[in-house]
Parts: sequence; C-alpha cells; structure tokens
Amino acid sequence: MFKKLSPQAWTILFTAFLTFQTFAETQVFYLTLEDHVFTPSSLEIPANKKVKVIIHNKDKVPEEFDSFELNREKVIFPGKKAVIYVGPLPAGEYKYFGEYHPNSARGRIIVKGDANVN
Amino acid sequence: MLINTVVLFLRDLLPLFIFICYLKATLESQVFTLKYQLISVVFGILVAALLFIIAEPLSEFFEGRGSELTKVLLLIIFYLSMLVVSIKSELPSLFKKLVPSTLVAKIAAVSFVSLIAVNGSSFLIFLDVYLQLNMSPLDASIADNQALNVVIGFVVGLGICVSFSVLFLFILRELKQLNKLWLVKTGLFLFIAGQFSYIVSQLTQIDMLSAGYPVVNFSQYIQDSSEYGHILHALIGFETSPSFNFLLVYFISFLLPILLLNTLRFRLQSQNKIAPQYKEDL
Repeated sequence: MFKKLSPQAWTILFTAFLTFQTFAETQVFYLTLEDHVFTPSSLEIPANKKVKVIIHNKDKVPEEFDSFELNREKVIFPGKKAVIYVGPLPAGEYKYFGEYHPNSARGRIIVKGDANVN
Repeated sequence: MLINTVVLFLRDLLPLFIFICYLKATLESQVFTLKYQLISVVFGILVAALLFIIAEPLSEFFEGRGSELTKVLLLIIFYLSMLVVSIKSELPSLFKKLVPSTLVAKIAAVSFVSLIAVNGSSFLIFLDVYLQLNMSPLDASIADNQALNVVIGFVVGLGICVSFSVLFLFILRELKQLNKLWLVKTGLFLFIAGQFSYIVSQLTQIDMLSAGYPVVNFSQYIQDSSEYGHILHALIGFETSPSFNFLLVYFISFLLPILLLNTLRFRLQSQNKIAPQYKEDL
C-alpha cells in the first residue's frame, strides 16, 4: 500500500506528522529562582510524557540550571525566563541544582506514574 | 563552592586537556607545532570571551534557543574539522590540491578553537558570577570564604587537569612507540564522538529532537556526578542513562571516520596511489 504513495503524498504525510508533533499538547510547569532558591523545591511531572519547564530567574546574577540525572544544563540570566524540555521519563526522582549556588539552589523533579499531576 | 569549582574544571576544561594530548600524540610535531597550539588556545579564549559577552542576547535568539544552537554549530565545526584532520593525517596523498598537508594543522586548530569556545564560554559565566558575588558588599565574611574556596578549587582543578594530561600524554606516546597507534586513534574517535554527541542533549533540551527513553541505566555502577563519571564523560562521552538518539548519534559519529578511512584507503590501494611505506602500516 505504501509503495503506491506518490512523493507528494509522502510530503503531506510527513508535514502532517511534524505538525502533529509540534502542536501535540505539552504540559507546562514553572520554577522560580529567588534569593538563590528554587520554588517549588519539588516539582511533580507525569511519567512517559515530554513537558515544558519555564524557569524564571528573579535574582541579580545568572544561574545555571543543572541536572546530571535529567542531562540538562541551561544558563538563566538575571530577570529572564528560560525554557527547557524534559522527558519522557520513567517514574522516579531526578535532582537538579543551581551550578553557581549549589548549596542553596537545589530541588528535585518527581516523575509520577499518574498523569494528573500539577 | 570548592567542590563545585573542581567539578566545573573537570566538566568544562578536562576535555580540552585531553583533546590537546590526542592532537600532540596523533599529529606529527612538525605539523601541529607549539605555535599552532598557542595560537589556537589564544583564539579559542577570544571566541569563548566573545560568546560570553554576547551570551545574554544570544540566548534570546530563535525563541530562546540561541545558546544551544550556537553550541551545536560549533560542535559540528569541531566534528567536521576532525574528520578532515583524521583522514588527511592517515592518507596524506588524498585530496592534495583541495586540502594541502600544510592546511592540516590549521584545520586541527579550528577544531580546537571550536571546542574551547563551547566549553570555555560557560566557564567564563561561572567566573563572572563568582566575581560579582565577591564584589557584593552584603556579607564580607561569606564573600571572603567563597573567594578562598574558589581559589583553592581553581588550584585543585587545574592541578588535576595538568597531572591527568601529563600522564595521559605519556600513555598515548608509549602506545604509539609500541606500534599501537590504532588504539590511540580509537580513543581519539571515541573522544570526538563523545564530544559531538553533546548536540543530542542540547537539541532535546530545546525540543528540536525527540529525547526518547533511556536505553540502559548504569547508575548502579557509575553516577554521572561522581569523579569517575566526569572523567569517563570527558574521555569517551560516557552517559549513565543514554537515550536511543544519543547512542545512535554516538555510534554513527564514532564509526563514520573509521568507515570513511577504510573506504578511501581501499580506493587508493586499488588505484595504486598509496605510498609503499604506508602500505606496510596497513
């Protein structure tokens, strides 16, 4: 059946797939950094789903969101917001920290099997 | 702050020390001379400083994806340059007009500059934050304590990197002396693949590539955040729980230079263009 598809049909299918991927609903979660402390310190996200995490740095110096377990590192400049995508991940606990203030800026992302987490 | 500074040295600067060891061991000393090494370090620091200066506006480009895309571009330059250097250093008779042998050192320097820029820019941001904190008059005792910790961290981190690279270069040269150059080259290709595969985490972070599920999990044996994890990451790009896409990019970027070298070598052999003394090495 697939052999009969013309190149144009393949292009349309591929574009539709990409569009679906782009507009597929991605849950958004928020983290705030103030006085070198991440709030909330525990963020719950659903398992096996890609989510968007928006981090707002309210401090006067840059901070690097860093997580070995999530394999993410992103510098967030003072007063700015940064976006990172996390997952899909199996259920578990994933620690993160602020690279420049590792003693105070610490937190964890808890990935839960239940899809209705907020 | 002390441990953090050491970790930053291991994460950002150790790969640069390892890379220079590989370049010194695999390229002839007449090709990648001290002059080229110094020039590439100076240029690398300049490019890293430029990236550091424009880091904030750069991070806002392409809907907040600017920093990641810049790193990806630099890593592609790093990989392609090393691909050319690897081929030309093994098969000097190839593409003589397009890439003369005198250009090999310059291409190796471009590769080194790209890697310094990727790793050095984030290190400079750390230095800047540290300086800002120490100039802050809020709490002088905390600032003094942090300054001391960072200075000690610098000394320890630099000491680890220098001593590791001296020992590593000695091992690489010994292997070369024992006619085990293939082992050195395999290590170099693993290192290049490890550095290049960093593009996967950068692209998944900005949702330009699907992350996929972790294929294996070595966290019971080695943690990414441990000393061994950092050293293995710097040496071969080790990840505790790599995703399918990471492994795919890693193995393709590792195998590509080997396959290209063997294919081109076979073509040269069949055309009898290969030098007799080189045939013995094969």
